[in-house]
Amino acid sequence: MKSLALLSLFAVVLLATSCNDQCKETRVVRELQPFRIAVDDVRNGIRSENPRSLESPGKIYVYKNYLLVNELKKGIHIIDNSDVSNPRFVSFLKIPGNGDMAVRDDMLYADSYMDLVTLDLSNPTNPVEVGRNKDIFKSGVFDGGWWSVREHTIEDQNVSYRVETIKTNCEDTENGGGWWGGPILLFETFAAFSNKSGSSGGNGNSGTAGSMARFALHDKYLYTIDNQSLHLFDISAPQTPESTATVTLGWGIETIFPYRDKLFIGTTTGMQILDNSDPSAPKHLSTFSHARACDPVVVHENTAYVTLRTGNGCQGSENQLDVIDISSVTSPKLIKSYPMQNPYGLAVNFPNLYLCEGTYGLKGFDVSDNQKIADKQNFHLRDQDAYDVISLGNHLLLIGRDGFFQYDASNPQRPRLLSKIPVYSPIPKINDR
Amino acid sequence: MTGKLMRALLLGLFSLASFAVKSQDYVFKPIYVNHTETGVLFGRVGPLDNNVGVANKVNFTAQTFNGILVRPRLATGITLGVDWYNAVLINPVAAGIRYDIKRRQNTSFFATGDIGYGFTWFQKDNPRYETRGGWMLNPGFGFRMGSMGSTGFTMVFFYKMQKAKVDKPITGNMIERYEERTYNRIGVRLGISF
Repeated sequence: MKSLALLSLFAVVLLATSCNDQCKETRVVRELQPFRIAVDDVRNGIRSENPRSLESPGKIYVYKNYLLVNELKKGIHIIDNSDVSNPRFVSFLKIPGNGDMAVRDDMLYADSYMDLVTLDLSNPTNPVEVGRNKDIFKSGVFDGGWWSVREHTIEDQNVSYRVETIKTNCEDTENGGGWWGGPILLFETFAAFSNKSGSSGGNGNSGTAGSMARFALHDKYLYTIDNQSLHLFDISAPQTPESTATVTLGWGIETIFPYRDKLFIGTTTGMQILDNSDPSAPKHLSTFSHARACDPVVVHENTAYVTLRTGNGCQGSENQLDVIDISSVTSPKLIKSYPMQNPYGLAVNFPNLYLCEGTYGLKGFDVSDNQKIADKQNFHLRDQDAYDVISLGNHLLLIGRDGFFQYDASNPQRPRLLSKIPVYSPIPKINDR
Repeated sequence: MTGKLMRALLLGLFSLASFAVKSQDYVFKPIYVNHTETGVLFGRVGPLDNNVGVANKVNFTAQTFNGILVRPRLATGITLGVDWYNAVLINPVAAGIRYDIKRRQNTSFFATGDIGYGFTWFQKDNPRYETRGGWMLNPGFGFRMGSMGSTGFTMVFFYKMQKAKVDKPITGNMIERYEERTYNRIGVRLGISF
């Protein structure tokens, strides 16, 4: 018994010698490396290739039973999603400099750095380029890296990631500030998605995009945005989009979300509302200003949901969900702001709102009471990255850096995983949630 | 994650309780044991990377152990507590034992051990911070003054390890930011037992 007592005493003394708190903060930060590519190489680079795995997925798009998943700056994966529990890769469409897409009546419209290309998607295993509108876009951003065209050369930036670890005092809850990385004037092109009212068109058989799309279809028009303008294309002749107008919106244009006869434009400094009752000539109605941040928008009835995000090249210090009363579209009013962690895309299937929190997962909220959204969090899926979400009724499609997921959300408290396509990610996986 | 941990803890406690009932059939009548104590946690942190020196930490702790005497010297049960680590309020829920190493007429020398999970049920985070708890280990030894079968006073010296994790706001060109914390503390608790 005496030995047991001594043993206990020894154990306590031994443990007591290590009574220093051990705390460390880990950060994944983004770095940019410039490179150049010839315009001719881009324009000659489109071709259909064999299916391949996801590596750096960007935006997703739903068309009929197909999923189109953008591979940032490389092209588009075409996936047969007839069986949602077992989606099947069909082909990979190589499009240099691609980040956005829209589809109507088997015509795929996609950006290729400065050009808008049209591809016939009637044979998904072998899409064919049928048209090209040259020099539409002057500059843009992919995953925080800027590109621009100078004469016959495109100057672009590759993105890489670095993990930093520092010791902390175990208590610091100050805002992190930006001294270790410095602010970068960049926008996001990572996608996020919304409900069917997203960029679905008014005519023909169109697909579904979401809250961070930069392409949208409405009536006989394809709308595309770059950093400062809205470009309109008449696609009455589907293979040969005709550029009909350009509307200057101001600097920092990020997303376009058509809803009924309005266009909602997400910018780095606010949300613009455009009257689109005449689809050939959208007119500015109002601007809801907010702190500088990246901000996709979705809308349901008289309420707009806007996420403001910092990090990833976005300026500002706000990470929040803004709920905005748009019953008067000429004077939108903030209803309430809710702090979030790092919100990206969002989708609404009223009364459910799905909100991507980047590396912090996907959250679901009941938004039936706009004053109590934070109190009505339905779920929080922490186990995967979440950057984009499309809600097709009770069918959720979610893309993150570690996979493409599909959920049955008929139980809004507990979405049921239907399938997963893994992603090879260049981002270090450091946080096991 | 939290649900799984709760289930694991409850399963462990159920096993201990089963053991207790089995033992009591042959050895004891069920004897309820309670230790309720409050005290302080002593620790240090640093030096840090940015030339910040070592700092001392003193924090409040309280807990209650409710169990059954399953052997002449051994009690098993559940320990519920509250620990305040300046920036985090943690509620440990643990499986616990109390073992009398030495007994005299009115005093006893005993070992304690608690292992479980610290929850952050009552933690109020600043906006955009999200604190989650983690595993907790709490061995120690103590003295009890008071005759057997009556209320006694206890003094316990212990070591406590508590894990926690905090998601922090992202700024600049970060895409992820979080802090992992391991609180390593020694401490002393005073209380009563019966």
